[in-house]
Parts: sequence; C-alpha cells; structure tokens
Amino acid sequence: MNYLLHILIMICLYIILALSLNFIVGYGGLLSIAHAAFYGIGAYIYALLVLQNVPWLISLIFAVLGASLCAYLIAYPTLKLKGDYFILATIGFQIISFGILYNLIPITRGPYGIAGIPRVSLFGIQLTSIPANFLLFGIFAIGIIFFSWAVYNSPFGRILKSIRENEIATQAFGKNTGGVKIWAFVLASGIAAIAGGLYASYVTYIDPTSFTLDESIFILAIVLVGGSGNLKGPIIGAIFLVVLPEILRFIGISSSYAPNLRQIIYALILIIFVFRRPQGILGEYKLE
Amino acid sequence: MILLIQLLINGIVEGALYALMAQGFAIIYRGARVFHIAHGSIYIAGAYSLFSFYNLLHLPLIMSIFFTLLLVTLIGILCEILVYSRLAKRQASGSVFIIASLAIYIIIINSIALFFGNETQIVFKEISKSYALGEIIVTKIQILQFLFASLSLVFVLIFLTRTRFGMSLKALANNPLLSLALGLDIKVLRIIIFAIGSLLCGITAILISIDVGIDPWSGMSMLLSGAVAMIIGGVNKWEGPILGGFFLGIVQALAVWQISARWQDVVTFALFIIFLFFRPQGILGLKLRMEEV
Repeated sequence: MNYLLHILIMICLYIILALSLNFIVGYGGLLSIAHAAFYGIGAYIYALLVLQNVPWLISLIFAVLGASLCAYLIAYPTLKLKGDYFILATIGFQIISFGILYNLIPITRGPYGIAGIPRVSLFGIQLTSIPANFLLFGIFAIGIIFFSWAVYNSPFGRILKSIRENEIATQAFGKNTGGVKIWAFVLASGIAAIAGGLYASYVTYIDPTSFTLDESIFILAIVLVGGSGNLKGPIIGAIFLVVLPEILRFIGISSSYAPNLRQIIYALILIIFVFRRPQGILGEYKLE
Repeated sequence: MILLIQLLINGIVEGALYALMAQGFAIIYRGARVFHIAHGSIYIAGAYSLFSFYNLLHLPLIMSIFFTLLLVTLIGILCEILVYSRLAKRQASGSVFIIASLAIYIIIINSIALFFGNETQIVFKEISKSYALGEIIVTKIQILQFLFASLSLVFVLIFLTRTRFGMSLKALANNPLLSLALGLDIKVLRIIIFAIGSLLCGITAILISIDVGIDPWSGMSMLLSGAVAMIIGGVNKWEGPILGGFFLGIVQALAVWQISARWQDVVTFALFIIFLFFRPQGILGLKLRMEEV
C-alpha cells in the first residue's frame, strides 16, 4: 500500500514539475534543459532554512523567491539567444548549478548531502506517515493544476501562446514579447522550487545527484511525451513515465541495473515520439 | 613565475585536446547542422573500446587503437543513418535534432555503464616517464598528446581547406539547398562529415584515456568543453574551434591556479556566458546578418 502511495506521490511531484516546465516549453516554445537546477535550488534553500528552525511555509516561500531570482538573472541574458545557443546556455546553467551544489561544501555539504530535514507539520501535527504526505502532495498538485489552468486562460497565457506560434506577429501587436518570456521562465522556476521544497521534506535527505542533467532531461521528456501546450499533456506524461519503469521491478530486473535501464527506456521513448508523434500523447504544440 | 609557465604548458596540452574535440564537433555542427550532443557519448565509447581491446582482450596497442577508431567512426555514421538523416529529410528544426541527440547520448552512456559499471577505468596503470627542464616538468604522455593532437589538427585543417571535399563541405555549410542544386551528393557528404567528426572524437578519447581514468559520466563535461571552445573560437571559420580550444585550456589551467580543479565545468560555462555577452560571434567570428544565420 505504501509502495503504491509512494508512486502516487512521485506522480504528483512530477505533475508539478512538468506543468511548470510546460510554461516554458509548451507555451513559450523554448526548450529548457535546466529545470532540475531550479528544482534543486528550491530544495536546498528550503532544507537549509527549515534546519534553521524557520517554519516550513515561510521556508517554501523563500525557496520560491530564491529560485525565481536565479531564474530572472539567467533568463535576462539567455532569452535573447536563438535556438541551439539558448539550449546550450540552459545546459550550462544546469552544469553550473550542479557544480555549485556539489562543490560549495561549507554551505551545501557537497556530496554528503543534507540529512535530517523535518517533514512538514500542519496545525502542530507532523506529517510522518506516507498517506499524510500523499495528501499534502495531492493538495499541492491540484493547486498547481488550477493555477496553471488560470494562467493558461489569462491574457498572459494567451500572449505566451501567440509568441510560440509567431513571435514577430505578436510584437507587431505591440506586446513586449521579451518581458513575457522572462516572466514565464521566472514563474516556471518558482513552481519548480515548490516541488523542490516538497521533495526535500518528503525524502528528508537531499544531495546534488537528485538534481542532475539527467533529471532535467527526464522532466523535459515528461512534457514532450505527454504533449506540451495544454493542461492534460504533462499530467498524462508524468503518470506514464513514472509508472512505466516500475514494470522493471515486476519482471525482476536486479536493482543495480534498474537505474541505467530506466534511462535507456526514457531515451528510447523520447526518440520514438520525436519520430512518430512529435506532439506527444495529447499535445497541441508540435516540435518541428 | 615557474608555476605560471608550468600551468601554461599544462593548459596548452589540455587545449590541444579540447581543440581536437571542438573541431570534430564543429565539422558536424557546420556541415550537417546537427548540434551533436551524442558526440560526448562517442568520446566515452572510444575510451571504453580502447580499454576493452587493450586491457580485457589483450590485443596489441596499435591494433586496439585501430579497432577503436574504426568502431567510433562506425557509431558516428550509424547516428547519422539511423536518426539524423531521417530527421533532416523532414526538415526538422535544431531543437528536434538536439532532443534526438540527447536521447542517443543517454542510450549510449547508459549502455556502457550497464556493461562496465560506473567506476573509473584506467588503461595504463603505470606512472608515465617525465622530463624536467629546470623546474618545469613535462610528462612523456603530455608530449605524445600534444604531438598527436596537433598533427591531427593540421591534417584536418589541410583536408578542410585544400581538398575538394573541404570545398563541398563549405558549400553545404553555407547553403544546403544550393549545394544540392549544384549536384553534390549530400547523403554521402553527410556520412563523410560524421565519419571525420567521430574519428577526431575517437583520437581525443584515446589521447585522454592513455593519461587518466575514464568513467561513463565524464563525457558530457568533455562535450561541453568542445562545444564551448567552438563557440568562443568562432563557428564560421575552421581555425575558430582550434583557437577556442587552446584558449579554453589555458583559461582552465590558470583557473586551477586560483581555485580548485573541481570548478572546471563552472569556469567553462562562465567563459561561455562572458563571450555570449561581449562577443557572441567568437574570437574569429564574423558578425552575420539576420538572414544569413
């Protein structure tokens, strides 16, 4: 039962991450391979603050603010770049942030990671059991789904969508496309930081290896396989890609091979989708 | 002062290797217009194939090197035939190529990790001979690395600028449609491009793996160094990646002097971002008009 709930918690976590990346990829039409970096920044800020006895909700708010600030500083120069260079710059930021988390030992404890992060407590009760944590993740995931729905249907969301379809035409309508793209990036990174904080409180131990380039590619794969540009796509993608590798467990593959095999499966699915169904399972935006 | 010269020498040797990686990457990027991230996994495949032929199958060194280069070239060609050529046929955008390339990268690296494990593997276990010039120390392997890397670079540069193939490559880089109209066989040309790029990558892998141990996850760092070297040198001249490689090697060596070597990747990208701000076309690059990009 707890195993099933754990899978459901992971699905909620990746729904939050995928929906936030969808702002950049599905709506902005920009491929970003740095999402795990913001996720990680959020997790670390949250963990460090909570361990200083700051209440969890305030820590989470600071995590969001911190990640958003980083995102703004990154987005401002890189969003001027086109195509390949933008993607390379996001990979670069991913590598830099991993390097900082790994090497800034006095603050982040580098490869040793941060242990003993307390679980979230609501109304004085600490949520130690897995069902209680599932409830917390579920509430946040539903909240983010509603928030994304509101943003997609707001004027901001519509401008973003029209940038994806034709940036020059949007400019001709007098919209500040550069500014909108930067704010989409900031918004997405802030939500990723929420996921980071929740993840840190759930697993109670974080280290830099949870926030690598592979993780970024995985989040991107969820959005692309599920389908970007709408609400359903990333949700379906998160369910599909989180559940699929669990099959490996049931056919009895040794757990020492499982991580590598999982990566290979993700990559194969990604290639198949690029060829056969570039818009993903339910997407409305097609990478061409 | 002695320390500075020593670091410069280390930087130049390292730079020659980056230049080799960057030139292979640049040939593919310019010629086939593919941002070939899987190049990093081909590098790892090269290192591991040298390790398997030489240390596991106990073949003579020359034969191991020959088979390694053959295998690496083959993998590069397979990437083109199985994936990129099909994407090119439907005129996919750069982003699609990058996603496909990332997927290939993950498949190759994880397959290698499945077979050989995640530990570092070492080809030569003995410590190499070193020569002292006063207080400056140069190892035999460093001399070999510099010699072979520079030789390969010179050969490739001559090949790219003085032969008919080089000219057709330039034409393809400039305008694929027009070169098709001129009767160039683009299919064959693209395969040759991937073969040469991967060959250079294989030489880099061999030269590095005779010096230090290799683990499957070091490929991305090497690939990014190559890509960054290409961009800071200037994409639209063949001398660009070479200059960028040496520049990057020297900057990294000097950075090691001030801060720890663990920050190497961070230094690489800091340099990349500084260049994007102040000289996005690279050291030797030409500023292109919008419609030429």
